[in-house]
Amino acid sequence: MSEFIDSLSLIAPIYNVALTLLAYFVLATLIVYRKRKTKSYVQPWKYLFAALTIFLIEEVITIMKFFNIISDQTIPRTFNASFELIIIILFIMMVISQLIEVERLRSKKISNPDKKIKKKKNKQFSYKLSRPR
Amino acid sequence: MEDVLLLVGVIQVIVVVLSIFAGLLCFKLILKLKNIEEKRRYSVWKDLLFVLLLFGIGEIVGILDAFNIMREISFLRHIIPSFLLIFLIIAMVKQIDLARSIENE
Repeated sequence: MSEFIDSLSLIAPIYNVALTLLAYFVLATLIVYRKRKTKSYVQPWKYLFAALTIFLIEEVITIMKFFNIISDQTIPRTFNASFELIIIILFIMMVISQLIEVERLRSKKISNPDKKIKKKKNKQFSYKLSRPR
Repeated sequence: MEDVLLLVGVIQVIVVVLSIFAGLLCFKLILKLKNIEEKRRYSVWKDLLFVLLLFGIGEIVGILDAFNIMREISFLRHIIPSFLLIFLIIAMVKQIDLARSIENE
């Protein structure tokens, strides 16, 4: 069992790259679909796209180290940790942008009914004015 | 080498703290959703919260590895991101499905 887990952990960066590419494809589909068809807010997903790109770079570096193409001296482990720092910052930006959007939509919804009432009142007023006596 | 590992550990501690902050923001977003329509529209954030939890666990394993504690579980450093990506893909597929159903309505 431990041999299986060891081999799995050794090969993991390779299938992580494959999974990241699949995630790229799904995310691109999501962004394009939401933008074209529903015309909804896609900014948070763009942040996720950037985070995935950084994750892909990190995994490629790990694979290159695994195959001894580059050594730990060339790119130290601090780089990987820094990449993870950037990823989490991008995720925070993603959540914040979504929070702002929810607030904006809510304020829009609150302000809209008033406009409708005002429009109705204006219509009634104009009708009264234009009604022949 | 130990200096590098110390630096890595410190950066990963910062990442874990930021993950907790991101998790709290996610909770705030989920709690803000009041009606059923909003909850349905932003249901993906619950899945993303789970993804964030996995990310945090991965970082904690990284910290333990960097500070030379419980090195037996360091193999999880590469396996956890795989599950993270799988759940991320599932969340995005759900979101595409939701966008399609909203469009059809």
